[in-house]
Parts: sequence; structure tokens; C-alpha cells
Amino acid sequence: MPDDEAMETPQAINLGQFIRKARQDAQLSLRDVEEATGKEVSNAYLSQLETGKITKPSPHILYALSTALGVAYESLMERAGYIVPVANRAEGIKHGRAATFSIDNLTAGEENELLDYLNYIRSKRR
Amino acid sequence: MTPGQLARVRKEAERALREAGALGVFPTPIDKIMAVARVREVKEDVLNPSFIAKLRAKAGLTGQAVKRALSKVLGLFHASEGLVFLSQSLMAVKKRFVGLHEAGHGFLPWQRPMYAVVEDCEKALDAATAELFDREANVFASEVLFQLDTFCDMAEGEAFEIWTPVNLAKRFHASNYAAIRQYVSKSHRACAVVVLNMPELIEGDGFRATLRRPIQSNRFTELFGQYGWKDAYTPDDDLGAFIPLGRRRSSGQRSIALTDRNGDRHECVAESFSTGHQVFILIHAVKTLTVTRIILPAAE
Repeated sequence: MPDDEAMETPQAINLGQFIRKARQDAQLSLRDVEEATGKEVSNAYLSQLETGKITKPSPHILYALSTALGVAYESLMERAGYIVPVANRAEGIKHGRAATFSIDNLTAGEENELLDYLNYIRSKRR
Repeated sequence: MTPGQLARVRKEAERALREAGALGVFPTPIDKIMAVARVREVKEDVLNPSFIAKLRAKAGLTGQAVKRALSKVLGLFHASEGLVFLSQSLMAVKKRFVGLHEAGHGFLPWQRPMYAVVEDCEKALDAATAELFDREANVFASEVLFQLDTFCDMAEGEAFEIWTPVNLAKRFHASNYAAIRQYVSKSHRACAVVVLNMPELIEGDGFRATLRRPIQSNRFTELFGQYGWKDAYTPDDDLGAFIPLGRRRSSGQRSIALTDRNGDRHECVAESFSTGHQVFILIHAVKTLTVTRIILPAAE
């Protein structure tokens, strides 16, 4: 996916404005996007999203829009507030860097060590 | 999860089953699901702390934090390499579920790229999204394991009793917990299952079994609301009296009354089943047992 918006900070324009601009740049109507997403995102829903009435669509909706509009999925997720700097994370809550099935939440330190450990395992397997 | 999110995950589960040629194949072939999810299970027991001890001796790496992390982790998906790590200490049926959960992280198209991004940078999914992705992976695993509505359709032809999901669990190579949960959560009846930890002997009370989790069908919740299940049950409680003791595995069916959200009492039937690790008490409202569904032809 193109990533020509990477130079902008995610906070520069909000999610709805960003999506509207991407749609207009691609010269697509609301109905065109509805069709391009296999009707996963209706034109009415998209309109509310662009005007800021909806601010946090589900990740699967953002994924569908990223594909239809040719914009980076990561950028949409970040603008919707789904991706946050690790430093902002409170202890004792669900970890969000590694996909684990765990008995209890990992601390940030444990998660970092786990990822380092996995990298080590990967390097040994090559 | 919202109905839209559930429907979307279910659609992906159906796609995985179809692409794997697994629809109607029992039990669901996990290796084929992993193949269409483009993930590969690492057979080495790298989640075992003793494996780390060997590595430490060789490389002098890793500290206490990774040992603590691994003591909590039963399964792990590494997105950028498409690798799945499963704790080899898991029981076979649990391992299947966790394997499908990790495959779900790899198959759901909106999840995999996100994990690949956050694995290698100083950003993370916010806590609510990490929780959502886990719930989605659980739904994916459950839908694939029980082949969408196939389990429920099979159960529908049997008597409504605890033994129905317990017996069907063997055919689907599922845990009793997963099968009973599926049975109740998708039932059109007003039913619930209360999952309890094994009872502990308590002087005075006889025994005490703490609540692990209640699961209610939608119909049950409509009728009774979020029921006020107790945190622990003793022989003096209506439900506690169903807990089988000693070598007994079940209580048999008996009547019990539950009060709905309007204060009206409903005649229900309850029965218990103990696996030796946990106790299930299945309850259903009698009047919904005779419900008949009338299916009208679609309008022309």
C-alpha cells in the first residue's frame, strides 16, 4: 500500500478528514467506496465517519477502507487511536506488542524480554 | 464484541474452513487451517522455562523477566515470521484450541499486519484493541473448531442435557468446557451454565466451590438479565446442592426455581457434571423446552 502520508503526523488531521481526503484524491464517490469494500462499509456509514460522527470504527472496517482507498492501514489505526506509544502504556493492563494466549497479562518488561527471546530463537533457527 | 464484529470473524472462519477443505471433516484438521493461515507451528518446546535454562547455559542470555513471561504464556504468534509457539504441557484438546486461536491472529486480515508492525517498533496496540483481537481470535477458534453451526445442529437432534455437549466434544476433539460453552451460548433456549472450581472442604459448611465463570444464552439474558450468580456455593445453596461429591460425576436432573428480572419465578431444570478439574451446572427454563420454530417461506 502506498504510504505517501507518512510525512504527516497522525494528529495533523483527524481520521474522518484523512479518509475524506484520501477518497477525494482517489476520485471515488461514497458509493464507489461502498462497492470497493464489498458493501462492508456502507456509504451512509462512511459519510458519518468522514464528518466525525463516528470516530472509532472497528479495525476490520479500517482495514477494508485502507484496501479500497489505497492508504496505509497502520496510518488509519494510529489516527483512530488504536496504536499508542509503548511508553504511554500503564502496567497491569493487556499487553499489545505480542500476540499471546496467556494466563495473566504480561508487564511491559516481560513483553520486551519475550520479544527479544523470540528474536534469539528465530536467529538460531536460520 | 459487536454483532458486526462477530459476523465478520465468522465469515473469516467460514473462509478458512472452505479454503482448507475442512468443512464437514471431523475433527477439524488443525494443520490444514494453519496452512491456509500461512502459519507454522514450532514443535520445539520453547515456551518451557527449562528450555530457557538450556539457552542461558549456552548463550548467557535472558533474565528472570522472560521466565516470568513464559510461565504465563500458553501460546504465541509471531506475525512477521508466521510462527506459532504452543506450550507442550497443554492437554491435547486445549492445545488444539490455542493453536486455532493463534492461527486466527494469522488469518484475520486486519490483525496480522498490525502485530507485524508493533512487534518491531516502540508502539503497541492499545489495551482495548489487544483485548478485542484476542476475543476475535477466540471466536475464530471456536467457529473453526465447531464448524460454524454444525455442532449446534447436531446437538439440536439430541436431548437437552449436559451429556449432549460432553459426548459431542469427543467427535470435535474439543474440551468439555469449550463444548458446553458452545452449547449454551448458541442455544435458542433460556439456559445457562455455571462453571465452578472444584469444591474445597470447609469446616462447618461442608464444602465451598468458587465461581469460575457463568455463561448465559441470549434468551436467558433476555428473561433473567445478568443473573446474580454467587461468588461461591456451599451445600446450603440451591445450586450448591447440585455439586457432585466424591466419585460421583453428576447429579442427575432436578427442578429448581429462578426469579426473572420482573420478579416472576420460573420452573427450571438443573444438572451438574464434574470433570475432576471443574464443575458445570447446566440450568434451563422448562417452558422454553417446548418451543417450536415456525419457518415461513420467503416472500416472493
